Amino acid sequence: MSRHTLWRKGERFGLRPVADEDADFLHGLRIDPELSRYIHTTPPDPAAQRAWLATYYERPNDYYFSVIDEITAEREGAIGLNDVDHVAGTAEMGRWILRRGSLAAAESALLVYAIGFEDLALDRVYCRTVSANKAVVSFHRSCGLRVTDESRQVILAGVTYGVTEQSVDRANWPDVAARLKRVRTMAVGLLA
Amino acid sequence: MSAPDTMVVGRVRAVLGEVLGPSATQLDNPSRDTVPEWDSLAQVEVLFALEEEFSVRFPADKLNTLRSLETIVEALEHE
Repeated sequence: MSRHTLWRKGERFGLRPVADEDADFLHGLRIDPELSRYIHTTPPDPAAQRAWLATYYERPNDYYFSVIDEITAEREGAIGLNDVDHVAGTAEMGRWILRRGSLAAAESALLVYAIGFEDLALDRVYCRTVSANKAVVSFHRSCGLRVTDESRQVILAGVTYGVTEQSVDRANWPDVAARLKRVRTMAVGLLA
Repeated sequence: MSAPDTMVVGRVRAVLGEVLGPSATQLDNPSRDTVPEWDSLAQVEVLFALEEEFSVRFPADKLNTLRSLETIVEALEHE
């Protein structure tokens, strides 16, 4: 089962709707201590991931994708657009998680923004990242996203963290896309 | 083959240290294989920080060579 039918193929990686058969892989990523440091706690039972997907399928403004290596057909991770607001023209790019060592970061971000701006006709996509997660905040900054809010906080495992919101809007989307395409080229080259 | 320009080497090393942290400056030839912090996310920052520092734009066919201090210096010296 999947909730939507949007998908994109890139030069090396692609996005397809998350489905039940992805649950165990995603659960494995979410309980990896290195990958899960800055995300909400995941229950140890993989059935919880399948239960979460069942609730996700019911939400209309939520697009969750598996990131797939189109050459090997292996899963790389997941990425999503959630809280899609068609009136405000906004969505959050989130639930982004990739296996250790994956080179799919740039292409998966590029493809999900493309879905946001071209398929869903959004005006702005924002990313909310725990500020202490400097690698991801720096990635978004290097890709041309602008800081749009630093006032939020999130509590993870009982610890309060500041949150950095960075955005790409219709005006800077071409610049962000150009940067991401160059990085994608670099990543694809490293895999060749 | 001529010896690399030590000033270029120093500037690249400084960029790598700034982006990746001190472990990148403690090796003779820091690379993606030897610096744990040099992952695919950090590679993006390395690329754009180098382009800003040296006011260059690496051509597409050079991007995947930017994987160690030596190969970066070599790429810069051919710019």
